[in-house]
Amino acid sequence: MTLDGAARAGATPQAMVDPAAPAASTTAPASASPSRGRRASVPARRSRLRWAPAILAALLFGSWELAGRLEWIPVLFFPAPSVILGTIYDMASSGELPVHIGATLSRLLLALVWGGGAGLILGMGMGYWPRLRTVVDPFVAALHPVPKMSLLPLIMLIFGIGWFSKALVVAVSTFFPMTINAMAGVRQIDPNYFDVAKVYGATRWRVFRRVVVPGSLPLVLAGARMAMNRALGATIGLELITAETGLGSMLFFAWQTLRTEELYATIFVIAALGWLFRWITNRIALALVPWQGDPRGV
Amino acid sequence: MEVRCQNVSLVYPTRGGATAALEDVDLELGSSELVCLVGPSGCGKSTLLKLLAGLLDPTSGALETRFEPDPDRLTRALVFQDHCVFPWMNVLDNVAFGLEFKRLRTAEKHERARAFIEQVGLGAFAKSFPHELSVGMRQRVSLARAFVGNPQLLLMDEPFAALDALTKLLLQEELLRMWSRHRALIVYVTHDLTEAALLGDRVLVMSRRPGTIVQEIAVTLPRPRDLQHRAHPEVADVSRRLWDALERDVRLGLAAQEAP
Repeated sequence: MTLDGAARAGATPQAMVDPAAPAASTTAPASASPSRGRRASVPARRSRLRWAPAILAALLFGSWELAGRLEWIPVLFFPAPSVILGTIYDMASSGELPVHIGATLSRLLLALVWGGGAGLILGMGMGYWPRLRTVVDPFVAALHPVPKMSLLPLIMLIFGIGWFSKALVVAVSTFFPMTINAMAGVRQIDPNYFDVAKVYGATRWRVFRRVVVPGSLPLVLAGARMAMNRALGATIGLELITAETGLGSMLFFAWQTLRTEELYATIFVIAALGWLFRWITNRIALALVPWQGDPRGV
Repeated sequence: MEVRCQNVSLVYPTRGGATAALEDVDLELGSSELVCLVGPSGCGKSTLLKLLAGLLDPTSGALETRFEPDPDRLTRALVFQDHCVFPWMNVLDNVAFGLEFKRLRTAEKHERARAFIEQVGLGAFAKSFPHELSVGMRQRVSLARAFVGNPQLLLMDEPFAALDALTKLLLQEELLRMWSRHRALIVYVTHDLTEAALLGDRVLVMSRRPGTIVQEIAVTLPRPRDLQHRAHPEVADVSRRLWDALERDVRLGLAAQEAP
């Protein structure tokens, strides 16, 4: 008996909550078959494995909750998940949380557009023109491992303490994953595709539009996901030391006032944002690179 | 259209020296014939094809391709064994790419592409992506794209080598059918001697690297041809003569690979 009978062609992940699985599929296979995804372009059935992360999380938080209730662990340092969720709820309903999330995300987005955009352009260029790669790649390699946060004092000396300096640091942190992925994305395109495009009379611009961009897109999207998470990390790190708003500043104030449940709550929110980024990039990937299959796996 | 090669050589740089891929290739191809090119692995068949495609330039010698000045016809088309149709385009867009050389509205390109998709029997798959198709279907897409622009010169590099034996027969038939409707000069690289005899008007035999053309065998089998001709004594005769011409070099090549 399968739990995966229903066609989930256009279903969004939230809609994946299985409404009373079609247990009748074994008794009435004929009636079940038309509902299966007919278009092969969508992975018609997703395996049960997609529930594994949820089950894993439930087990983890369940045992944590239990350990907290039974006071096996000090609740001052490890407040129970239910307490943390309650804290998140309180912070959200007081309007405090949305404001801070908004502050963090707007900074992040600004930096992502700059840094990611610049990385995308440079990386694609480096992938496309070996000469540019020869000249620029050593610099990319040398600057990549420098902790971006270590640039902050210098940047603040030059540009002042304002938002610009912080945005610049975050932008730099998104720049490298984007550059490297875009470069790899262009380089892994099979040379045959370029030959075919040229022979069929595509101009340089058309080769770029019809081969380079779509061919590199899967890795560019992976780079975007990395860049988003780097940006989130960098933004929060900066807010922790310099800002009055944002999730990082929440962490700072919670720490100053020893409210561990708020520390956890903020970390949970950050983790949820990471999950959200994955969801967004997966949606984009499903729409833009359908030939790559479902990015969510099996 | 005409292709003429005189003493064409191609040397490409390798680590610590240079490798001669082609040496003194002489070649004359006339319009609308189907010329097969056979030779041991690594003899430079694909390199020669890329020269003809204009993707490489000869190191020395004269390569002349004279096309008829017809803006409605694509000059060259290309079919590879693998990585040929774009995985990011559906069948319709892939075939329409064969009209890339023309300034046409997308809708019109699609309309013409559709006709060719029908011709190769993929009408129901116009909106499918290559990864949803079998290898044989993908090569049908390649064929449709190759012919949609009515090319003067069609270069095919082992187009059906990755197919199973039965699908290969169908695709050979498909090619012959398409070619009878849309005449082009086809240069067809293959390792399959029966295929060369069945498809070609002439078969050119290349030597081991550095490759050069050592023999030319004309196939007198009448046209139009179909798969029935596979059993024709002429096909058996030509493929036997091809093997005679190739055997020594193929064995030498194998020995060279096995040597330490």
